[in-house]
Amino acid sequence: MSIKRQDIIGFIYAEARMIDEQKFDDWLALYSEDCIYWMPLEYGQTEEHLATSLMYEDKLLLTVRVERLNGERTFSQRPKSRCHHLLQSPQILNITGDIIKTKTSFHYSESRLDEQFFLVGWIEHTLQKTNDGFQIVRKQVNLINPESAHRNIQLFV
Amino acid sequence: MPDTKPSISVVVSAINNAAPNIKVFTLSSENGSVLPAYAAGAHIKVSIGGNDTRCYSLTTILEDDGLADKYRLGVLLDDNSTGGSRFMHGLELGDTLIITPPKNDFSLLGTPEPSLLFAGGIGITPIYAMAEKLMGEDVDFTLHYAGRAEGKLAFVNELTDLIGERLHIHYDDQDNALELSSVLNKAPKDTNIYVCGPKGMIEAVKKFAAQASFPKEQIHFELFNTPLPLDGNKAFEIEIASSGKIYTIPADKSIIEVLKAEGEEPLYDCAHGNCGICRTQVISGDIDHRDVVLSDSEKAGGNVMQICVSRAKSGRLVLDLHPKKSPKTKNKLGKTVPPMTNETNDRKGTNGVNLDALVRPGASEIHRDVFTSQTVFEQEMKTVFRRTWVYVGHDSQVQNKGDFTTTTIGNQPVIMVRHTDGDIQVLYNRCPHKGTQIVNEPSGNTGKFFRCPYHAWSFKTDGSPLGIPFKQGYENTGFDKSCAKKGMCVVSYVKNYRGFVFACLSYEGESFEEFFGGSLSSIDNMIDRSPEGRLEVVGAPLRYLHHCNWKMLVDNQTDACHPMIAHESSAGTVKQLWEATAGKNTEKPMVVELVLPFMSSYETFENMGIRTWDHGHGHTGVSWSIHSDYSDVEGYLGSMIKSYGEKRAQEILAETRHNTCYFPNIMVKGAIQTLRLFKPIAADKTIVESWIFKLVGAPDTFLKRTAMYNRIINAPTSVVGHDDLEMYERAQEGLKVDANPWMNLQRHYQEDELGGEQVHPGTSEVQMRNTYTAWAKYMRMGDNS
Repeated sequence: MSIKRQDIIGFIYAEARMIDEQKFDDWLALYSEDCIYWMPLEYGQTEEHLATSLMYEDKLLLTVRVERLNGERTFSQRPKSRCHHLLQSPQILNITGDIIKTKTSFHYSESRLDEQFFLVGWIEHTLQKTNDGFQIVRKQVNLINPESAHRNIQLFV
Repeated sequence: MPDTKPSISVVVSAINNAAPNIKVFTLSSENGSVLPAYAAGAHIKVSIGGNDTRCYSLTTILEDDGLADKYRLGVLLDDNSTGGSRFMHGLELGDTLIITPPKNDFSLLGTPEPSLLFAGGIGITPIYAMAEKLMGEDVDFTLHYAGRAEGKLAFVNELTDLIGERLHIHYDDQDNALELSSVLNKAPKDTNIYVCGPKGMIEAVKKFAAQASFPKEQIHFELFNTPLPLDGNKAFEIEIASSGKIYTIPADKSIIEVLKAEGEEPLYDCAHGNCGICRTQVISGDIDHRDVVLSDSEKAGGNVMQICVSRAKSGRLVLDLHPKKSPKTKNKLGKTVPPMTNETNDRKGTNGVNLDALVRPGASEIHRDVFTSQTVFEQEMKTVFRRTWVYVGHDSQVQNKGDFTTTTIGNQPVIMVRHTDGDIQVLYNRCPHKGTQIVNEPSGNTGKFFRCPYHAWSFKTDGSPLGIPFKQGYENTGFDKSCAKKGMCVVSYVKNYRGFVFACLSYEGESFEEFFGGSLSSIDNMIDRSPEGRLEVVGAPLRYLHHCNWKMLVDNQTDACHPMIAHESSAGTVKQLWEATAGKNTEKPMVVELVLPFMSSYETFENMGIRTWDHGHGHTGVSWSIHSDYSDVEGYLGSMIKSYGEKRAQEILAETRHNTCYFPNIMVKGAIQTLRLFKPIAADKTIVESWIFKLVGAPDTFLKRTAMYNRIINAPTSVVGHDDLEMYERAQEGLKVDANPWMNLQRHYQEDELGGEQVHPGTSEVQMRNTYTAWAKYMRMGDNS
């Protein structure tokens, strides 16, 4: 099972595009059942459980978010938010068996009503090669300013 | 004067043991050339390796009759040797030494008046030479030679042979101990006095000579066994007044260098005499000022010095290195309650805010200006946030001396810092000079002092002034009377309640205990949940920017009618998903356990009850709360029972209060160990900080649960938070409607429902009314404190 560099990069771009196009059900399907989506609260944070994070989501919590975004009584999404990812070409850090680690720098914008905010940082993906492509096992979103007083961050970096 | 470098090679031609630990070395010219001549009192400098040198006085060589082709030195092996005496005592016959030519800072005057010689211990070396000289000139003299005990003095036999009855030996432990006052009082007043010995002896001779009316010019002295001139510096001694310790400061070391080596931990920064931080009170001694910090008058005053560069002109300096801490100026704990019965708005300082027009009786309706008016906001910063006890931080954030955190009390920037005495201080975060914030990191360690980054004004961690660079520019300017002179402004009323630090900016308002009363039971419960009775803050807080008034967040904490509605999107979705998978999973995930109770029914919330206390404090969840049904954690109950006993442990754990609001701006959850701080920024701007605590001694599961709760519920990335923020900001916008300027809070309203401790139905808006009643009370106090 050969892993093509271009396929990995294409997968990461596709993930971001699904978020930007709000195809959240498709996006959620990219994640493995035992996935973790982590956004630390402190720059350089390594503790996952015994310290606060901005997000530390398993598949259940990601599903809650996606369901909520689609919900009738989700008032903070009336009107809906929009977002956009501007990604630098992903770097493939290493491939061990069918596990691939990548790093991707991003500029992320999210907007709702008259407001727009901007997040900057890098994403560390851990992907698993599957028969028909890849699954996201772990996604770590590192902001350059996680400790800042943020406004609502409602969609997904 | 340029220093003379050792350049003459000599050979050790004799070594004699003159007394225990005293060796006498004879040094001869290496190549047979004649060594430079010297007079009594002279010394040479010996190279002891590297650039290090030591000075030793030359003593008499009897057999040479004045021909100076040899030098003789006596060296005492000093237990505290910094290398010199140890080096010398390691010398062997035939070793080569590099020395300087002799130099004399301690010569005989050569006049016919009588002389009185005093030698202490190894200080005999130059005195011996003087005695020999005086003996040869037939001048009247007496030599008093003092030591600690018999057998420890060098040259006693030689001296006896040389000067006979003119020699008076004194041993400290015998009847013949030296009595200076008696000796000096008997001496003719034209006598010249020469003394070489330890500082104490020199000081004593000077003192008694002065008492006996000898003019200063007749007293000549030299420290023994320590470097003589080096770069123009002389060694001297310092005494630490508080401990009585005495240190010798060698010519090549500063006071600070010696203090550091001795573990005294002096305060200093620049080490060049510029910053003023090492300013030290001098109790006595003759200071050689070399800094540019102290003013001329301070220098002339002679009771303060910069110990990084300044030295002693002579003798010993007695330093007040560890001054006793100044007594606390005020203690609000016993303060009297000022009159607060003025219910009218005509009192000065209300800034035009008419409270009767803002808060209806019983606070059943609140005018929208309370939330939207910037004028009201500014007034509440000057009243509510000055008269009440506002949360500053937790003492676990500043565990070590010099640890600090920065925060705000209302709109006032402050620093919480662990002072060098171990107490927690709260200081206003500005330099008294031009207003620059002293520190602006959320937390850090400042060491022993704060230093303004703009002009290096420096302050102790209790705010008191330490130094101002180039301070003489303030002489005769009136600066002495300025506020700036006093240092950083201090918040006088600070209370550390079991680790929770609160401060009050004004002498007006209640004492801490009066203000909080029975409400402290919620903080107690959070702390008591630790088997060790101790909490620690973990990590940075979540910070969440809201475009709404801070009080909307406060009143939402006890709003039991919103969870099932506003949070239907988040908690409701969790419930749906969980119910859909029920049966598949056997174990309820922690997150489900945390979020599901938000979807409890009105009846459940109604029955849980609300408790109110005076001064705006209150809590939801009297009999039950959304935190009541969390899973047990193995081993925890056992350790609680061990700490508290069965009955008390069960009592602590049965108390599962929901949200306790402490007026004005925090909410505490004892059962899940979180604290939310609602920081007012503007009428329509609030930053919420959500902190978590570790129950010290409890299993990690608690901290994991607490951290999870914090991110699920309180984060700017929290779906629950999104629900709430949306409502607050819609309210902030909606209150602009002129057609109805009132917020209605009449749910379960009753007259006289407040006062003391009372319990109400859980969906009552009574705690909101309690909040605004307290708010109006403090607003009415005006801002003229």
